[in-house]
Amino acid sequence: MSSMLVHVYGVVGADARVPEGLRGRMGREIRRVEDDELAVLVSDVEDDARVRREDLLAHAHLLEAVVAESTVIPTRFGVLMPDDDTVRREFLVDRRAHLLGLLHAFDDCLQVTVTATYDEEAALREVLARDPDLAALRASTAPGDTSGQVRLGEAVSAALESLRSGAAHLVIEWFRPYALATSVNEVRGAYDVANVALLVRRADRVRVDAAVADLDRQVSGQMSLRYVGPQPPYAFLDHVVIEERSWA
Amino acid sequence: MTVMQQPNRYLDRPAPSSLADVIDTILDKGLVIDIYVRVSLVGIELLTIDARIVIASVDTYLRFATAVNRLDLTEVGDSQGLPELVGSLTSGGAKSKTSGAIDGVKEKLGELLGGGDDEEDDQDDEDEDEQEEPQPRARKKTAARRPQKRAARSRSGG
Repeated sequence: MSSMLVHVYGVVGADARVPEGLRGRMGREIRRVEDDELAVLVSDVEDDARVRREDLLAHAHLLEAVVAESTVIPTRFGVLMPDDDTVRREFLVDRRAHLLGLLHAFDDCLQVTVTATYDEEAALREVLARDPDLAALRASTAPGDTSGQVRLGEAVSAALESLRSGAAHLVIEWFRPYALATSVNEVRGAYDVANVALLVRRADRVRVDAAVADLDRQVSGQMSLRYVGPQPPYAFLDHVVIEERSWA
Repeated sequence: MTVMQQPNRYLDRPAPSSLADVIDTILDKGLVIDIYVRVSLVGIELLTIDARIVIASVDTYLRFATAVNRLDLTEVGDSQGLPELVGSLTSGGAKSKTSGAIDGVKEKLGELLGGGDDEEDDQDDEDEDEQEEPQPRARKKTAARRPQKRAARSRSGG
């Protein structure tokens, strides 16, 4: 028989506006463990609950719903505490000053993430146009020559890499005027160019939206963009990850 | 065969996170109090979220070769647009951080998947003794540390 744990999503100011009726993992109601200044957003979860993709998305989407209205300091997925008293002790007592500092630092800020992906054909045409040697290698490599084809593919891969770094720079520079800070994530797809997190002021969202739409038009036919947000300031919390030594 | 991602055309406003996005966000970043990190198991579907991955391998190279061979170069000449935009910025300072992403993903999944078996959680209180190192002994492998950047991609001529 399973007992219940408390899944922690993140922390907001006690007076922050938070949408009504929020649901978390397994559709459970979001509760607040709070005092006069801080509110920890939590929901109940069985201690033997498995993590499914819905659970990951529920955690992310809950935080996105909150940050649309108020600053939230996100908890990494998977922090489960035995009960509300533990939440209270760990967050509202032991880490109180730190959390208040973070909420202040990120006051009225949110993150959006832009991913740019090359159109495959556009990218390949581009690398061939730039590098006559590569075009020649392509022309001279017989289809049945497997090791030749591997060499060709390797050369294409290297050429894409340099194309990518130029384009990534473009994307980052494009958004620099709109962002308080930027952070570059690893890209994963073969034709992904850049995955850039932007820390922006809530008041600037419309400008950022417009900048994304504008870049989208500029690179149309060459690249496609994904635009995700609003998100909590994940990429900008790195240097303040709370370790146990904060007890000391 | 294609390695393109599906374009997302909602660009007047941002869209909610997809499963692929959580790797860079809730699985990697955010407040974490190590001794309470417990993630029991991740559905196998997560493995599929990044099937299309940059990795230096014969397979990938052959895929690139196939793709480049498919091009009909008689149509060449209409690939303008980006060159103008990018040209002035080519080889700028932004170092692409593409690296062995698949390792990172696997590592993270391994951590998540591996965390499910030992569910003991009674060490909480004793961890408060003077430990300089933030390394609780029974620390779950689920803390989803940022994967080491490593150059899984061989850089020939890059």
